[in-house]
Amino acid sequence: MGIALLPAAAVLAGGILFAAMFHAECREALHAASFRGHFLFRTPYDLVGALMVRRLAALFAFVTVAGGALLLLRFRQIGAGLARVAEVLRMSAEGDLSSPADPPGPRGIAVLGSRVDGVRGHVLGLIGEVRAEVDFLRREPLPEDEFLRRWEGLKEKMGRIAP
Amino acid sequence: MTAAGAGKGAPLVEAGYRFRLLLGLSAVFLLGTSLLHRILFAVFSREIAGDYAAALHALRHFSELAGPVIALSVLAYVLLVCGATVVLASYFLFKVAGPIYRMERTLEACVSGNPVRPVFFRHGDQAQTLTVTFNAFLRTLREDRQKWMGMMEHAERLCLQDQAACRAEMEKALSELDLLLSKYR
Repeated sequence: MGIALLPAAAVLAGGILFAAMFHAECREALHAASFRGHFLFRTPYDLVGALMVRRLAALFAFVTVAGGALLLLRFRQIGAGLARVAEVLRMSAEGDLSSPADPPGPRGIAVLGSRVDGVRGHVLGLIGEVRAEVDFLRREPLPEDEFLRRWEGLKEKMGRIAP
Repeated sequence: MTAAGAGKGAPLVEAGYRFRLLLGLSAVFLLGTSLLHRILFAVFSREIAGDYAAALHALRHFSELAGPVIALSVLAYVLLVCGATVVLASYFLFKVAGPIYRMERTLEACVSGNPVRPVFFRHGDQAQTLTVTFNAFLRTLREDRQKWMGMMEHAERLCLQDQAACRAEMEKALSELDLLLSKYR
């Protein structure tokens, strides 16, 4: 949600700059006009119109460029973070469930990375249990009924992986 | 496509999507600037009538009035444009946040041991590469689990055919399982 506020911040900054600059220049122009002997205008707009249009054009350009740049920069950071999470998921599909995701970018992406790590850790834990049970069954000379009971238990443990 | 290669190379946020968002924002900024111009034009277009003294007084008065007028006009501009910008940006960003939110729900289901369904997309959703990769990871896990289960069930079938070789078949299956499980680290 914070990303939506970035262009709004540019609008706020642009508005403040516009108000400060236009007000100062406008006052100056009106004062200067009042000291002239002949008033060759019908409205104050005739005096400050061109200045106003120039300042408004600058405001539009500033807000568009600054807002757009802030947004694109944030998208770039988010994209880098998501790319890292996607890379980690690809590595997970190949069997690497232990390298931390640690994605760059905003906090929300870091939270997503830690959740993905949580799932990978959980899956690795389940696979570790299965592996330990397989090792135990292979190593220990168990009686037939005990072996079959543990064999069924092993299948139940496997069923818990990605249900 | 293999699970490891799922979504590889595809952009997480499409260039067209970013362009549409920037175009929408530019349109909002342009409308806002036009509105600000209309307000200021309406205020600054009041005719200065009367003789020299009246015109001088009107100009001085207008000069003093310009500050509050500009401040209020800019305040209206900032409120309107900020509101419209936040609404527009939020609408566009839900296309990125939506799939991530759904993926987070699936991740929670994974950890809590509940049945997990692949993350789905809606029309125009961004970050599809991420969810495609996640779904591929889930699919790989399920395929591997099926393979392991299939190996054990195969040993059980052989047991039914030949009781004498039952234990040996099961131990053979366990050896193969150990090898397959070593993929995960």
